[in-house]
Amino acid sequence: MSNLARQPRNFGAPRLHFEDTINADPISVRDTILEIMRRLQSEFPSQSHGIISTEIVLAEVLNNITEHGYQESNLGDVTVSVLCTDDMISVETRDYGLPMPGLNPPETGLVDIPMEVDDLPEGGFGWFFIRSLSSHMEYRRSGSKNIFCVQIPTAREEPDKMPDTKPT
Amino acid sequence: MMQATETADGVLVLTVTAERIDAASAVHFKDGFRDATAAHGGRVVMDLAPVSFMDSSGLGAMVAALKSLGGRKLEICGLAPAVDKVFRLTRMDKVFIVHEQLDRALTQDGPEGADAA
Repeated sequence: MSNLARQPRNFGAPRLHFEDTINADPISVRDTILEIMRRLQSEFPSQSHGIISTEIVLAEVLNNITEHGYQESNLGDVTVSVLCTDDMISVETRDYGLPMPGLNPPETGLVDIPMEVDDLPEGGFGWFFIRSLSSHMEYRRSGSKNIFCVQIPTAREEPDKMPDTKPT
Repeated sequence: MMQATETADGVLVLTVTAERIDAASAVHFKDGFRDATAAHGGRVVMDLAPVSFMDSSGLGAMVAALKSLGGRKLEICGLAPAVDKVFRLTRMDKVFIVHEQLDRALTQDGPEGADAA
C-alpha cells in the first residue's frame, strides 16, 4: 500500500528538530517548549498559525502527562520528539505514567460554554485544544509506556476547523 | 505577576508582567489577581500585552479570576496572537470584554460601553 516509491512530489524527509528526555514538571515543560519553539523558528514564521498551534498543543500534551500521567508528582520522565515536513509538525511523546483512561485520548468535554459566569469551566480545555488544532493523533500503550503522537498542519492558513464563533 | 494602578476615574488597571500564563504560573496568577482586586469595587481592566503565551491552565486561571469578581465584568486588552487564539477557540472572547489596546479600553465608559448587549 505504500506510495513511498512513487512519491509524486519532492516532500523531503522528515526533519528532526528536537529530541530530549525531560522531567515531567511544569518548569521543565515550559523550558522545553521555549527551546522547541526557538528551534522551529528556523523553518516557520514565528506567528504563523501552525507555530502558534504547535506551541499550544505541546503545552497541553505535556501538561496532561505531568498532571494525569504522573499525577502532579513532578517525578517521571517524558521523551519529546519534534519532527516536521514541509506542511506538518509532528510531536511524539513517550512516558511511563498512568495509561490514558480507556486507552484512548479523552473526548473533549467542551461542547458549548455556558453564559453564566458561575457555570464556566475552569479546566477541561486541554484535549479540546489538542483535538481542535491537530489533524491527526494516535495513542498506544506499550507495556508500561505511553506513546502519543500528534500532527499539526502548517503549510496552509488553516481554515478554522472550529464551528464558527459568530455570536448569535 | 501583575502591577496594579488606579486611574483618575477609579478604573483598576492590572498590567500582567509575566510572559507566560501556563501550568507553572497559573496558581500564582490567580492569587495575584485576588490580592490586587480584593479592595477594589469598580471597573477592572487587565492589560495582557506582555503575555505571549497562555495554555489551558492559564485560561482556567482567567476564568477563576473572572469568577472572583463576583458578578463584575473583567475587561482584557492587548491579546497576543497565541492568547487571542485560546480565547477564540473556546469562545471565551464572548465572556470577557476584549479591547484591542489599553488606551482603547480606558477611553470607553466601561463594560456597558464595550458590549452594549
